[in-house]
Amino acid sequence: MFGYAGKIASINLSSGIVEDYPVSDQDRELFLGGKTLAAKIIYDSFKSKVEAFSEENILVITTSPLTSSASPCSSRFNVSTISPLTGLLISSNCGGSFGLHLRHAGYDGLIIRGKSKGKVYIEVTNEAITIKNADHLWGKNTSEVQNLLGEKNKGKFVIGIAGENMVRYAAVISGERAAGRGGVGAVFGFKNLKGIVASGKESIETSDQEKFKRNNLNWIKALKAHILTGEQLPKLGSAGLVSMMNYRNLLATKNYSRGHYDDFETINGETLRQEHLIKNKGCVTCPIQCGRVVKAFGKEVKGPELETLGLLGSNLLNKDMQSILNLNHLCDEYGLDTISFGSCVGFAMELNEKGLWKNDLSFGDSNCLEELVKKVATRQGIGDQLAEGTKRISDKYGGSDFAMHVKGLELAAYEPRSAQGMGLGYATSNRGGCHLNGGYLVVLEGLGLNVSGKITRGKAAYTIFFQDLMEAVSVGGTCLFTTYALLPTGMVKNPNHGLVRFINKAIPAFGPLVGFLHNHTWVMSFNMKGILPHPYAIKLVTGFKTTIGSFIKIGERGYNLERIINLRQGLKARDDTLPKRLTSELQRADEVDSKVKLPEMLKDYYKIRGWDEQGVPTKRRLEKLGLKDYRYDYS
Amino acid sequence: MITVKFFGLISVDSNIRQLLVKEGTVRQVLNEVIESCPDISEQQLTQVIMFVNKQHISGNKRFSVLLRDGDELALLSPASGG
Repeated sequence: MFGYAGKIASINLSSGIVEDYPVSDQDRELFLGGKTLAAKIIYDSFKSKVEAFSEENILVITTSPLTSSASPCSSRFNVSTISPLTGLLISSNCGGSFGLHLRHAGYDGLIIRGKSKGKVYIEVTNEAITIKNADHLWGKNTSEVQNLLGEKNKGKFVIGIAGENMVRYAAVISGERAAGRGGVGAVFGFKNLKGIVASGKESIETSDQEKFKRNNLNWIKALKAHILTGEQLPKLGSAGLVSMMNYRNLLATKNYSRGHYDDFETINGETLRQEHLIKNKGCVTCPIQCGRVVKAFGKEVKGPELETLGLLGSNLLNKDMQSILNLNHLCDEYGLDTISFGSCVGFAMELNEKGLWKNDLSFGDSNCLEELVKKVATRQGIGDQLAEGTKRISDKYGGSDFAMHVKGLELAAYEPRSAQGMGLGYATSNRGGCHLNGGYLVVLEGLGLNVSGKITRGKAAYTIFFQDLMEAVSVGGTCLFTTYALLPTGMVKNPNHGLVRFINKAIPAFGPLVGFLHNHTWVMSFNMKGILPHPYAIKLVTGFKTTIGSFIKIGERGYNLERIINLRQGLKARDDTLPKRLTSELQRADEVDSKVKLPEMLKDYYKIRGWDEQGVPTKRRLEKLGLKDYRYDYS
Repeated sequence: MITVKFFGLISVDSNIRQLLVKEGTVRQVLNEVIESCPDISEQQLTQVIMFVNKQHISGNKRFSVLLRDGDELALLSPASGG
């Protein structure tokens, strides 16, 4: 078997039984790995709706054919479960080294079932999988736990105190990287599982080693030559987006009440680089090196990325960069998602401002925030309510019009009223308010390319195409940042050139063609490794007949399977929406277009997706995707 | 005076974040930028995305926009990835 370690282990924490979970070759080719294979396992494991905090809920950690390979940016692995924030499927992706070590231990994935009576961690090696006592690890932060779990040549995946206390947006940390979104860490905590450590010396066979090596070298060269992945991201990190987002009215500010922050220059990538950057850093096998190393509390630690700068900066009117560096570090140590934490605090500040919840939190006052991280992680005082997430705070105190979540998951730092496609992406994302799972159409709408963010025409087709492309890239095991190199350098570098401006204007008109290609992927039954190297790399590793078309179809299959699981969890079409602030309040009073015009895009979206008016994938579409046994029954 | 602000790669590569220049058209202001900042080339300035007082200006007409005392001209290199 090429491209896979060949084993997935099922570990029952209630009974202590560890057994192999069978995956057929056919399923490997159909679902590939990562979040899609995890969705298949989750679909098969439940017969009906499952609560996040229940013994029935499972954690599925999966790697992908490119994980731990020599492909660039391929340290990625996935963890999926039912989210305590949304009650829906959550898949959280991480760039830490755990996935690589899990594969070296001989496993493509782990399924964790049941709930342990005592505090435990799991050790995975070539020889055995052992459930061990974790009393000595409980109550400790993520870096300390990882130090206690052994040497550097082991992969660790652990929760902090926030996970132990089942904070609904607790993260799981590997090295310095987080599986941040959706509260996976809280499910670890519910199961009394402090973490997992993996090590081994197995190697994975590659179908065509020589061509794979050549493809990787060319791929790395292309990433280094591209203005975004070779220059902007290494020099400024994702923080380099803050300024452009601010000028484009895309930067979430004061609980998303506007898209620009007057003090943005104190929290942008340029300030981070000039005043705080010690060096840049990347995940294993990453030639981009977008990570920042900065100082917080006198130590060299991981610096913030764009989302954190937005949610803990402009969203709270916090102009103190050092405060953001400290908060980012504290969130990692306690194991908290910085996006959800920042969004919950911003919402609480606005509730306070409007007199709906007297809580002493005020926009622009960053003095209390470090203490607040600790209070949330330990569920002390006000922290106990903030630990429940924006949706539940809104259920208690009101303010649903400006509770900035979708399906229970807090939005990322992109304010979508100036980017219609990003708005549609947030509304339809299977995870909830996630920019990446939403298709990240903002990459066309002013960040990268310069397609107008005001218009809705063609955006449904592009959103779907990008959602499925992102899904497939993630499932293959590569960082989504590699996709920025797919944007033609000439177009990115020359936004003022007459031809480029013409193409940017014309792109929405190609929506029907994009929709056609999406629904007729056989037209793309070929590889163009210079443009989209991912499917070709998967083909060389696995020996599968992967083409651009089949690759996009894997993404679509995953997206539909996740949708089916969400429907079974109780999702309705009415949940494909946005907070009223984004669809009814104008972002800029003098611009009537500055709100998300969701209904007109959503109708097209369902139609192109092959979903009925209730947002349910049709029988015909599922059969086309090889999912005829994965239906959602209305009854 | 006009405040010219630099963001993204043009700022990093030239190590300049802000410059004060005399009033004039965008073209005249950019000429002064080139004179004051030897690390910034004419080609780089044709590639940047421009905003005058937070309003996007584009096309060839952008060079003839008149900047008055107190105006801000922001020059941003393309950026992506979050």
